[in-house]
Amino acid sequence: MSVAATVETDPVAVDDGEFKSQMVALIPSLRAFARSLCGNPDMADDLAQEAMARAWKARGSFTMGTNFRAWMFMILRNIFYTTIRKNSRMTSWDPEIAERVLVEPATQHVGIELNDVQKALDKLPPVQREMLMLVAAEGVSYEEAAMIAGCAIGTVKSRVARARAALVLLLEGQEIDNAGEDQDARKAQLPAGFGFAELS
Amino acid sequence: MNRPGGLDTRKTSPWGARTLRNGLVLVVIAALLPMSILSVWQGRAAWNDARVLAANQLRVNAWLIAESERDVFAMARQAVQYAGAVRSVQTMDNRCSAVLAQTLGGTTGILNLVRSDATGQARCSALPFKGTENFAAEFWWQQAVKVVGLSLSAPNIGQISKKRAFRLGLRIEKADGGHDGLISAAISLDGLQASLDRRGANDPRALIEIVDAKGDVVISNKKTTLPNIRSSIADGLPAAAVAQDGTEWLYATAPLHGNDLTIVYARPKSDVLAAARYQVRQSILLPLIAMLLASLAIWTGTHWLVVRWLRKLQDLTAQFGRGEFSGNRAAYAWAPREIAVLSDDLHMMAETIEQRDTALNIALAAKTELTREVNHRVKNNLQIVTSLLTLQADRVADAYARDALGQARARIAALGLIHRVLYEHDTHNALGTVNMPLLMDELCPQLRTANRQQASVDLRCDCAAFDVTVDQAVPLTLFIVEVVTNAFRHAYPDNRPGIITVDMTENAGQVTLSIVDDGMGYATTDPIGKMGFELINAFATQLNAVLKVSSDPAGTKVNLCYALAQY
Repeated sequence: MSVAATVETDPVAVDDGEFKSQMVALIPSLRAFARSLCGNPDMADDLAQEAMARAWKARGSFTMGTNFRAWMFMILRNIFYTTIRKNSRMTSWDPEIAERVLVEPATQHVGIELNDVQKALDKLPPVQREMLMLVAAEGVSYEEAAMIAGCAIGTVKSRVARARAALVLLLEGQEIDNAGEDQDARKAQLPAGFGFAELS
Repeated sequence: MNRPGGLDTRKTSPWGARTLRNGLVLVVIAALLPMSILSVWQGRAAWNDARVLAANQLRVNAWLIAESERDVFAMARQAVQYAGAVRSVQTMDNRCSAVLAQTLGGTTGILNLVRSDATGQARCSALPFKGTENFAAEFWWQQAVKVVGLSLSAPNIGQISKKRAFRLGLRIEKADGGHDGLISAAISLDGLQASLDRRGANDPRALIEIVDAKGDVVISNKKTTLPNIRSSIADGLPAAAVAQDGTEWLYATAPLHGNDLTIVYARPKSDVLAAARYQVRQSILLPLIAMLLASLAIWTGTHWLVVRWLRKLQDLTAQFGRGEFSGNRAAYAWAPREIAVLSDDLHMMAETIEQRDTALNIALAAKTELTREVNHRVKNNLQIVTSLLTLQADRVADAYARDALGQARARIAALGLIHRVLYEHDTHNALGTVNMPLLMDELCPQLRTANRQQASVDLRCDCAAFDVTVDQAVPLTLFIVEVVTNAFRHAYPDNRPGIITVDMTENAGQVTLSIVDDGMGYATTDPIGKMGFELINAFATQLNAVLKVSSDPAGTKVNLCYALAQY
C-alpha cells in the first residue's frame, strides 16, 4: 500500500494553481501541527517546509477534490517519523527527555503558559499528543485522523480519549504514568508498509 | 599651533572625522551587526512560534471544554431517543409520564422530558405538570415539528420547569408522513452556566462563552462578551477580537453541538503574548545594548590607551619641532608598551639632535669668528694699500698720475668699506650679505672726504633698507663710487656749487639706483670720462642691470635698475 494508492482513486489532472493556493492556505495549520510534533520551532518550520516541497513534487499523485488537508498532514507526519529514525538530532517529544530538556524553559516556549496546557501537552505520549492535536487543535475528524496516522478509527478514538483524560488529570495537577504508552507509541509511529518512496 | 601642509590633506568621511576612535567603533558595530540581525530575525521567528503555540493551546482548551460540556447534549439525545422508542411514550398512555421520569432519573443538566401531541398540548412530563400546557404557539415547537429527527432550539423559559433551557426535540413520525408531536428535553442553561463558572473559577483569566450559530452569546462566564466570533478552526494563528469594553482577546472555538452551538475560549491578548513580546523586545534590545556598550568600551578604551598617549606624543614632537629638546620620559611610565617604546625613541632622537645642534653651533661660531677675522684682515690690508697709495700719490709730481692714484685709492677704500661692514655688523649681514643703508652711511662721508676739494658741492644719500650679497655689493659700491666721483670731478668746474643726490630704493627684489647731479653735463665724446664710463658699464653688466644715462647742460642723470640676487 502506498500513499498514492490510498488517496488516488480516479486520476484527474492536477491544477497547479489550485494546488498551490490550497497549500498556501494550509501553511499555518501545517506549521502548528509540525510544532506539536517536535519541540523545536526551527525544526518545526523546516518540517513544514519539507512537507510542502515533497507534496509539490508528488502533486501528480494527488486527486483534486479529495481530502487535501489529510493528505498534507500525512506527508508531514511521515517525514517526521522517517527523518527522526535517520537523524538523531531530530527527536520526537519524548516526555522524559522533555522533562530533562525543559530544565531551561525560557527558550522552549516563548512564555506561553495558558493554564499549563502546554506543559501538560508536553507530558503526553507522542502518539496521544499527535492525535489530540489533530482532533482538538486542527479540528480533523476521527476518520481523517485515522487516515493520516494510518490506523483504525477505534485506535484514534481511544488515543484521543486517553489523551483527554490524561490532560484533565495533568491540568488538575496530578501525574500520569506513560510507561505502557511509550511502547505502544513506538509501534504506532510508523505503520507497517507505510512507505514514502512513491512521494520522494 | 599651525602646522604647514598637514591639515588640508586630511579627508573626512560621511561617518564623521576619520579618527581612530570613530573607526574602531564602526568596526565594532560592523562586527556586531550580523549578530543583531540574526537576533532580530530569531525574535521574529520566536514571535511566530509563540502565536502558533498560543493558537494550539487556546484550541485544546476550547476542545477540552466542548468535550465535557458535550456530555449533557449527548445524554439529552440518548434520553429522547430512548423515550421515543418506548411504546407508552409514543401512544401517550398513562405510563408515559412514569417512563419519562424514569429516563430522566439520575441525569444532571437535563431539567425535564415532555411529550407533546400534534396540537402542541403537553400530554406527559417527567416533572409534575398541570396538563393544560400547550406549546403550539411557541416558536421552538413550531420549528421542531418541521424537522425530521432531532433539532435544538434557542434558549427559552420552560412552561413546566419555569427555567431557562435549550430544547432538544425529537419529532414522532406518523405512518402517513405527518408528525404526531414531539418528545423534548430541556437542557438547563443554568447547569451550563454553573459549569462554565466552575471552569472560570479554575482559570480566572479565561473568558468562556457558548455562542449560537449566528454568533450571539448564549452563556458567558464573564460580563464582557466578544462580538463577531468566527468559528474557523483550520487556521494556524489565534483569532483576535475586541470586547465591548475595548479589551483585546485571543480566542479559539470548538463545536459544542453541531453547528448550533460553539464553545469560545478566550484569553486577554496581553496575557497570552506578553512573555513572547518581552522576548522579542529583548532579542532586539540586547544586541543594541551590546553594540552600545561595546562602542562605549572601545571609545573610552581607545581614548585611555591610545589617543591620550598619541596626543601627548604629538605635543612632544611639536615641542621637539620647535627646538625645545627637554622631554619628560617619566610621563610615559604608565603608557602602553608600544607608546612607551615610541616615546623612548623620540626622546633619544631629540637628544641626538640636541647634541648635533650644539656641535654645529660651536662649529658655526668658530667659522663666523674666522670669517670676521678674515674680513677684518682683508679690510686692514686694503687700508694699508690705501695708505700706500696715498703716500705714493703725495710723491708723484704728475697731476694726472696723482689723480689716477687718488681714484684707485677711492675704489680700494670702498672695497675695504664693504669688508668693514661685513665684520663690524655681522649680526646684520648673516650669510655674507651686506646691509645697504649701513654701507651707504659709511660710503657717503667717505666719498665726501675723498672729494673734499669740491667744498661747495653737497652730497646727499638716501637708501632704503635691504641687503645685498657680497657678490653684488662689490660692483654696486664701485658703480656708486665711479659715478659720484665722476660727478665731483667733472660736473662742477671752477668751484661751482651744486648737489649730488644718490637715491636707492627697493621694491619686490628690484633695486632702483639713481644718481643725479645738477652740474654742467658732458658731451658723449668727452675723452676724460671714457675710462670712467667703461668701468660704469662693466659694473652694470656685472650686476646684470639696465643702465640709463642722460645728460644735458642742466645736469646728469644715471639710472640703474637690477634684480637682487637670492642668497
